[in-house]
Amino acid sequence: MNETMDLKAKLGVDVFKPGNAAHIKIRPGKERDPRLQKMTMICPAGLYSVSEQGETSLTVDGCLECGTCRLVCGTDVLEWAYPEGGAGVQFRFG
Amino acid sequence: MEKFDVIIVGAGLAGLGAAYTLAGQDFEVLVLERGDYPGAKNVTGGRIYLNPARDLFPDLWQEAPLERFIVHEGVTLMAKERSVAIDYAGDELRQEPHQSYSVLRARFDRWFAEQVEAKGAMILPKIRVENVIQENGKVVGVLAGGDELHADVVIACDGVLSLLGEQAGLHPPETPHNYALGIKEVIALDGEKINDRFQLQGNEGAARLFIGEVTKGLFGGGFLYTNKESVSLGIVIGIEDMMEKGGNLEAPALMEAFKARPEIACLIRGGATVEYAAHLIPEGGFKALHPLHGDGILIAGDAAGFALNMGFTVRGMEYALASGYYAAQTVLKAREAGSFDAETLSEYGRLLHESFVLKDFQSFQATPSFLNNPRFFSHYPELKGNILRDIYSVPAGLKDRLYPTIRKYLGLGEMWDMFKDFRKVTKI
Repeated sequence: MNETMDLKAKLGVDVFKPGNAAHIKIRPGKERDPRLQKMTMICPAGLYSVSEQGETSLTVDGCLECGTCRLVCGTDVLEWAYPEGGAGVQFRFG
Repeated sequence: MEKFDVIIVGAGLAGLGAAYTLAGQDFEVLVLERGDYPGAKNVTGGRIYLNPARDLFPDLWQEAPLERFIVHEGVTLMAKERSVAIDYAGDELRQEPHQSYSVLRARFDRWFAEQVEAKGAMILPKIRVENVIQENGKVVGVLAGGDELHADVVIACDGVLSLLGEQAGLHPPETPHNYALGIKEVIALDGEKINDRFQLQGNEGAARLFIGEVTKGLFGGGFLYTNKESVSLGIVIGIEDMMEKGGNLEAPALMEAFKARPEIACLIRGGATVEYAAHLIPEGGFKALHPLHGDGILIAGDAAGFALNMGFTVRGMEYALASGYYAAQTVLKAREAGSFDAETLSEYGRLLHESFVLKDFQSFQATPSFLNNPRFFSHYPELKGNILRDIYSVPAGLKDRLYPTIRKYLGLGEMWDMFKDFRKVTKI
C-alpha cells in the first residue's frame, strides 16, 4: 500500500497533458495473457493490475511512454501507439 | 500535399544533430516532434561524453546548458548488507576541455532546438508521426497528425522503439532480449549540499555506478549523477531477466529499495523528487544494431540501437549526435548524386564505419555477453564484501592471519570460475 502511494506521489510530480483516447489498449480476448501479468511487476508506473478473475487491465493515466510493455507483451497482445502529438508525459528535466 | 527536402522525425540528439548539420545548407528541413516542446519526451541517465562528438559541432558547446563536468568516478559493488566502492579522481578530469558532463535533456534539447531553428531549420512540436509513406518500396514521406508530408529523404530519429524503421520494413518489432528498463528520479538538492556530500568544488560533478543488490541479482545496476541543483538517481534492469527471474520483484519497488540503502539515503537526504521518468535502453551492442538505411530513409540515434554499455562507462548521447551528423553528411552527398535510393544512402553505413561510432561498437561487441553474467550481479559483490568484512574485522580474541582469511573465499573452484569469467575480457 505504502509503495503504491509512493508511486502515485512520484507520478504526481510529473507533468501530463491529456489526450483524446487511450494510446495503449489490451486487445480483446488477450486479458489473461501471461505476458500482461508480467507487466504488473515491470511497468515502472504500476499501470497494470490483475483482477480476482485473473484478467489484466490497464490504465494509461500516468504512462511514462517507456515502451517496455510493447516489448514484453508484443503487438499481438497490445494495440500500442505513442499518445497523440502534445499529449502524455512532458518531461521538464529529462 | 506538402513536400520538403528532408523530414527528420524526433527532436532528440540524433534528430537535432542532423537538422543542425543540414540547416543553412540550402535545404528545406522539417523536424517533427511529438512532445509539447523539443526535449519533452527525452530522458537520459545521464552523462554525455563530449570528446568524440565535440568537433562535429564545434560552435555548440560554449553556451550549451550542460550541468556539471565530472571529476569523480565511482563504482560500488553492493552486497546485501555491505558494499565495496572504488572512487576514482584524476587531475586530467579537471582539465579543459572536460571530457564528460551531467545533463538534463529537457533543458539541453530545448536549447539545442533553438540553435537549430536559428540556423534555419523548421521544428514542429506536438506532431506525432503515425507511419511512413511508401511508394514501390521507397519511403517518400510520413503520415503525421493525419497529414501526408513528403520528402526526398526521411531521417528516423524516433527513439528506442524505432517504430518508423519497423513500419518501413527494415526490422521486425523489438523483443525484450536486447533491452533494459531505466527508471530515474531527479531529486532537487541545494548546490552547496551537493558539493559537500560529493567532495566537489564549484561546477565539478560526480558520477557513480552501482552493481549487485540494486537489482537483486538481475542484469542491471544503479546510477547517480550530480547536476547543478539536483541529482539524477536511477536503476537499470534487464527486461528479459525481469520476465524470467523477476519473481515477485516490482520494478518501482526496486527503485525505492535502492533509495533506502544507507549508502544512497545519506546522499539524497532532504532532497525532493521533482521528476519520475522511465526509458528503454538498447543493451545488445553491435550485434543488435538495426539496419541503418533503406530506400529513402536513414535511421539514427537510439532508433538504430546506438547505446553502448562498456561496464565502467555507459554511453549513448555522443553516438546519437554523431549518427545524426553522419546522416546529414549522407544526405548532402545524396543530393550531389541526385539520388536518395538505398544504394546512395548506404554511404551512411560507410561513414559510420570510418568514425568512432561503429569502430567503438565493433571494438566492444563482446561486452554484452561478458556483462550478461549473473555472477556479476550477486556473487562477486557478496564475495568482495565478505573478504573485506573479514579483513576489517577485529574480534575480541585473536585475529586470523591475512592469507587464510582471503584463501577461505578463494578456493580452487572459485579461482577457476573467476578465470573463466574474466577470460572473456581478452575479447574486448
